[in-house]
Amino acid sequence: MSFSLKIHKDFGSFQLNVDISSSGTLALLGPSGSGKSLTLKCIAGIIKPDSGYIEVNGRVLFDSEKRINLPPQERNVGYMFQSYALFPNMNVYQNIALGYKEKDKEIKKQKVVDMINLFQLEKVSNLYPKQISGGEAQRTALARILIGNPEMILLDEPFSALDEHLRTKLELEMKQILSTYQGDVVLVTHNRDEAYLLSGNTCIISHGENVVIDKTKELFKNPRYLSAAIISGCKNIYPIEVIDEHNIFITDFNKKLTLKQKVDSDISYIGIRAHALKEDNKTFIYPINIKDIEEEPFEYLIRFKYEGQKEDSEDIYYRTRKDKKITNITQLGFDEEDILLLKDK
Amino acid sequence: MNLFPLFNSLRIAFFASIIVFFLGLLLAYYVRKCPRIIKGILDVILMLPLVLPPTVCGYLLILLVGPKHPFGAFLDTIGIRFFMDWKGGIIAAAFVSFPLMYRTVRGALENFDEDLVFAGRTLGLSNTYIFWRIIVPNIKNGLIAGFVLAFARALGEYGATSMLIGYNQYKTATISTTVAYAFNNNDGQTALIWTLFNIIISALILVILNLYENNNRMKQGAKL
Repeated sequence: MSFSLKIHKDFGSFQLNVDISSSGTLALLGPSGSGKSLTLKCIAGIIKPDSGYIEVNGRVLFDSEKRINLPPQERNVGYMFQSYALFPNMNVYQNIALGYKEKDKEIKKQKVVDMINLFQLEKVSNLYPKQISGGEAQRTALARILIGNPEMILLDEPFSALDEHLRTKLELEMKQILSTYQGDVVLVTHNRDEAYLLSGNTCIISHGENVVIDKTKELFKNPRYLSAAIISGCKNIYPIEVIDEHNIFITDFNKKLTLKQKVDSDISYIGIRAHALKEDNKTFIYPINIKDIEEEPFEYLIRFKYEGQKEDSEDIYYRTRKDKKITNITQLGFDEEDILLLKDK
Repeated sequence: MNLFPLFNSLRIAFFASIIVFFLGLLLAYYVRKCPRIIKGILDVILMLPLVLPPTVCGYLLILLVGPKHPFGAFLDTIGIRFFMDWKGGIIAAAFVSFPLMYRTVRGALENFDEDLVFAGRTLGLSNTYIFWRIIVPNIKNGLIAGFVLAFARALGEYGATSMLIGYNQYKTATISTTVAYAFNNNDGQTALIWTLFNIIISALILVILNLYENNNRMKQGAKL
């Protein structure tokens, strides 16, 4: 199972230029307004790209040169909307039954009942979408899609309509369901935890373009690009100058670092994760001035500047567990492997 | 007492509101999809009957279906006559009440979640199925409100109707033209009786509409 697409669409003030090939579960990760959902809508046939092609398992869904543009009805691609888009005038049973094309009433009924049981919707099968919980609505929407046996499923921010305390449970449920699904899955999210939990591969989307695509775990370990580092949650990002292959200069810190690894000349930022900083035993360690201490439920978020750091530059974030003493921190440092070297994109 | 005006008014309002129901629904649906400029122009044209004086509407309809004008003459040759005929009342009432249905459906469609249509398409449902089984049921309240308003307006239509079909107490008289005719002929009693008739029917329609809306509100509030 695999898919590939290369599409362009001009929205006037916004340009969508996406070029992706992947298989398995892919997360499209990016800030809101970056073009993730638009990409998904193009795959489903809800929006028509100006040019390019979309292919799923070798089947062409769209090709502007060959003038192919299958209507959504013929694409056999399941789409789960952010709001789940259950039909309000039909109950759970009817909603699920709509996704299944089968003339024989007995076979159809059996299949719908099987699906309802599989998704644990027995108790609500006669209820209408307004009467069921967010989790039940999500399961209904998934059952409605999967009953039609689509070649691919597209999930548009599947957890954004849910309360925070429900999310983890449903994310795990979703992971379980997706693990039994044969086709490819594209998950659109702006939440790095969701992407990390659910997808084998992640593609970072920024300003309507795909920045980088890689194995999810690899990408979080080494984002390589500025936008990828930001969306992966890296708090401390500073512009640098590459002096030579092993020396960089962090302008805001007014510090030169000598690294063992080779630094490409197109590296223009470094990132250091807030939890990577430590008080001792680090290669690059400098005295600090604490600016502010914020208390979060289970951690402290400390903002500081290095001595000699430019006053108008951004504070550095340091995150540490609450059981640690934080009153007498005088220095903080990081190792070479804590440094993310980032290209500007 | 001659009850023909009551019967005639009801059948005219009934047929007119049926026509307006489907026409308003389809036009509201298709105009909404038009490019912005065309949509703006069509919106103005389709809403005009609401703000034009009914006599002007009536005159426009005479220009269209009057026997001295090309289209009306053509209709005459195939035996269809609207001018000075009760069937013309349907046209007059439909013309004048159309904007009420159109506007109400437009409003209902604005509130309709477009994602339901896209969801239907990705599930393989035909556009016809989506329109009648998903869009229509989910804007039902707007459709009913529009229908009732159009019916009430059609029932009370006077200006365009009197221009187009005149007054013949056994052939074209409606409640409103009867009231006007009786008043003009110093028959205060008849005018009063028909006035009361009209008030009762219109009030009944509004009561039904309110009951329906209350009923719906209670249903929607009910969570199991």
